[in-house]
Amino acid sequence: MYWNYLFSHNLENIMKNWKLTLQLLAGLVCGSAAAIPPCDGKLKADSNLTGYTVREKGVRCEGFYIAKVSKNPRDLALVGLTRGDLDFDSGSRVVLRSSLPGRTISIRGVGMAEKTYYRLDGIIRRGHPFYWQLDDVVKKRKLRANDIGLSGFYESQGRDEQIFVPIDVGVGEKIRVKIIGSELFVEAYWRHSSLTDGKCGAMAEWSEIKPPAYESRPLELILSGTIGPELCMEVSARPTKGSGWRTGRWKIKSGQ
Amino acid sequence: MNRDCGSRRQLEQARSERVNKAVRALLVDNDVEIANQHLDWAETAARAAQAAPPKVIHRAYVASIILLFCLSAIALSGSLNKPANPVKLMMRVDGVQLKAIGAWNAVDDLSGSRIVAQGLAEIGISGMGDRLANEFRLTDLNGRINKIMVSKGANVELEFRPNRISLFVRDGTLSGKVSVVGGKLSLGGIDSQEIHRDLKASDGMPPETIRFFGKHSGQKAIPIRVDINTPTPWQVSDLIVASLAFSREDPRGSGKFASTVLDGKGELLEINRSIILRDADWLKLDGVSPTRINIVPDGERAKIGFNGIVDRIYAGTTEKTLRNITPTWFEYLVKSQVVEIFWTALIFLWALAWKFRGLLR
Repeated sequence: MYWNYLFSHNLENIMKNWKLTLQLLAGLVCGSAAAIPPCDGKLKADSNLTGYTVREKGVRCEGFYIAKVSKNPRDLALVGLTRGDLDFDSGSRVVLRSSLPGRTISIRGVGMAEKTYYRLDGIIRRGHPFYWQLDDVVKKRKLRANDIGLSGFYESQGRDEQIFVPIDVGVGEKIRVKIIGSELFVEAYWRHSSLTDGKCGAMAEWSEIKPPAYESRPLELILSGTIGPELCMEVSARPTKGSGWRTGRWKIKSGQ
Repeated sequence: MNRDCGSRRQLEQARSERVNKAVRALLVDNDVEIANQHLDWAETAARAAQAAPPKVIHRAYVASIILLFCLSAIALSGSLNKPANPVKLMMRVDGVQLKAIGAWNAVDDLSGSRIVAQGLAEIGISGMGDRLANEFRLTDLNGRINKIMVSKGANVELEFRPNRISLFVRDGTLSGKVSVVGGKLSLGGIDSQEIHRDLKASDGMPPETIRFFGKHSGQKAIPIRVDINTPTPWQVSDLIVASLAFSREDPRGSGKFASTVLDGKGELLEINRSIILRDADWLKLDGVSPTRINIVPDGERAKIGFNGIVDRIYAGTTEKTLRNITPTWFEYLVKSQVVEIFWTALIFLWALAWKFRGLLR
């Protein structure tokens, strides 16, 4: 029983992501370490051609993964932070740029509709754009620009938290924020404060966000240019009148 | 001794040859007299072989070695504990020390009337901004404790009192979030000043949110502490732990430790041995393999369910009289159903093979 237990647990961990592990090891051996995208080792790839895997010789990890049974998170999640409107109709690739060109950031794309199980992970290097090829996953599985939430982030040194960075997607100047929860909300509010030395200031008054009519759509708001380049944003929403509020707070540096 | 064995073998060989010769004399030569001579010789040889003195010394020597080996094996198996023993426990306790494998959500959406936290690095209050503060106290609370997240590998001590839970975190840190519709907030440790503020959300608007982050307590003598007064049951489901202990210092600073066990029962599953624990009995588990536990409220205390694998288990009425109740290899071999089935099957197959051997002769 003891050996059986040890064997099964260790083997399970090794085998769980063997394909991804091999690909990452191959990347380490064959290419420079800088070419390896931040693949999420916790995801179990879908077995077909559009499964979550390293693509374009290590430029990005993209594809569909298999769902795990877990509790629905009550918290809200920021899944979209883009400057401009994402457009998949004008070519086979999209050029993504960081709003903080002087810093290397991670990008993450997620399927916003429930049970899409889509993920994009990549890195926008300092001073370089990121070319997102659409043919191998996005167009093959007929995902639309509205189906994907795209955001940038980096880990704050010493604070163990993420700072979010808008991704310039080429068309338009407005910063669009997309927030999702696991429920359909009947009312939602947001507010913001300054962000100085990594600390949030006192929050302004609440402003209402029009809640979406469908569960598959996110809460959406637009940050105006008057807010400032570094801010804390708090969103609160509730599924039914009288129920508990779901809240989230994020630190954003937009480089405006 | 070898010579003795050799002459016996020669005698047996010669006897066999004489019998063959007798058969040949009868069948080929039809000579009864010669055949009788050979058979007489063979009979005398058989009697000589039987009359030879038995090898008593040699047999006794071999038998005593086998006996000694068997006794040593039994003595050894009776004194050596078997590792990796499956144990099932269900206990009522008023405290527990544990170490989780990963980060874990110690509190998940719990209503609270009071929360006090000490050993913090930073507190973020929506209406006031983020502040450096060592402690905060929220009383007359109308709100919910959304979550308290304990970092990976932290040693946690939980204490259960009527309508109150206390968490002490060492070798790690924690962070938490509280939604406040109304309450009285006191912040301490900001330039040696205390700040007091009444928090109240506007009617129909979202609640105020307090976020707190503990200092990493790795190098600190004083653990991070959070006390929660709650009227609702608090529980932990499927937490994977690497260690589990049931004691706490009592009284504080005395260096004396008391058991937190109120009562409980369990079973060493491989040998079907029951464990009965009464109030203040001690239970010590060593070498706990990563195992899921559940903690559910039970009246004014908590009930812990453990179904996992341990290397050593000790129980007793006091810390000094703790008795090792880990199964020995002998107990395992005698009582384990798996081993019983194995030996039964082996003996059955051996008997079957013996039977076939007899039939084929």
